[in-house]
Amino acid sequence: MAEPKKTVDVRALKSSGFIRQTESEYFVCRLRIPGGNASSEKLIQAAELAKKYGRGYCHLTFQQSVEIPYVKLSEMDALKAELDKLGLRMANCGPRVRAISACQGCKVNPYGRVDAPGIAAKADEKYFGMDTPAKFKIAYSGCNIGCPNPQENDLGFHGMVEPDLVPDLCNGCTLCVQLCKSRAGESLVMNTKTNLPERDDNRCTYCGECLFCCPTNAWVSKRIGHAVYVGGKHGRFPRWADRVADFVSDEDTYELIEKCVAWYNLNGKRGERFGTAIDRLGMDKFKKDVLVPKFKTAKEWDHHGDRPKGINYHVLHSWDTEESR
Amino acid sequence: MDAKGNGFLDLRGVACPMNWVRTKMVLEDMEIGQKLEVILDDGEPIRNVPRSLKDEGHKLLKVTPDGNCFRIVIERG
Repeated sequence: MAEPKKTVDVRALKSSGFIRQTESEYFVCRLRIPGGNASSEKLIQAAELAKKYGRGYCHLTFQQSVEIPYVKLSEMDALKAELDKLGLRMANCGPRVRAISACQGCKVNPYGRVDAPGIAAKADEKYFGMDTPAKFKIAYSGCNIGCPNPQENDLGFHGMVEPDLVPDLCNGCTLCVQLCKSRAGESLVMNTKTNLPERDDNRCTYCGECLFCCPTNAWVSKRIGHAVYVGGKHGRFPRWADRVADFVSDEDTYELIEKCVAWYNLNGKRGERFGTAIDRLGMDKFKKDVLVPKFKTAKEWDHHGDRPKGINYHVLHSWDTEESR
Repeated sequence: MDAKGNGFLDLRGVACPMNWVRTKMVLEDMEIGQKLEVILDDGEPIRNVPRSLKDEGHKLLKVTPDGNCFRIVIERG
């Protein structure tokens, strides 16, 4: 008599981070690296486990997880026990909030405007593994170069900064104007009368290049925050995310994640990605349900005159006084 | 170097960080207040060299685009 075949609940395994390979007796063990930062110790432990349970190599995924391929079905429990003992946590797969990815952020990368990995790790602690109609990917980028592809995630953020000029400190060298022309939005022009650069809000990408390059520190940060993208995905039918809000504070990005996941669970069909649900029901409905009145894009704020209080909002801008004129 | 001790350096085609090293070497032989004109390529050089100048306390007086390059005037700090 043949031995009764051990049944495997692949779905349940997926949510715990074991993913079935092409050869059905092998599983990939996906480790969770929130924000893309892992200690050397943990990486060495993962490598040792790959030697012991896998085939001596790890795979680095596009969502910043470390995977141990070729784990035998029979050895999964033993591996899990070792992971638990070492404090290595497993990531997930399937219809839920995935491990949140991020770039190096402002602490390492001079272009960075926000501490992307720090914020991502915090968000990961709060929201990782929440059930959703289909996969839900979140990415934090430190600046608008956007290496973690915020526009291709279900919910994406990138850091942004609004520069403000302290005229007394400017010596009129024009470096910011030149760099803005070649690298950013061409939003700066030199006013020949005052010999000071002038910034056009409509063209500014809020990258902070001028702030970063200024030899006399004449550009200061008026406020720092995150730009918010919703509904992005790649795959067979890629969808470029919609930018729905600007200058959102760190804490408010968590609020947005919560609201978006709640909205998605209420409105999304099973297997339908976030962006597809937004398209089906209309961006207006999404905005009304989730964003209004707190979250707006910079242009929308300008239009309504009332600006959000970002982390660094302390200097009044010229348009603030325009209305009182 | 001219009579006033002002200098000129053409660093087109010189990559980072060698462009900064060469700028620094010339600046070190100059007196405070003397000026050095440098031609830098667009891209990393025009971003990096001014930042290093700032870190070492020199003054950037003027940046002028010149084709694909930039002419910058530095005052020894």
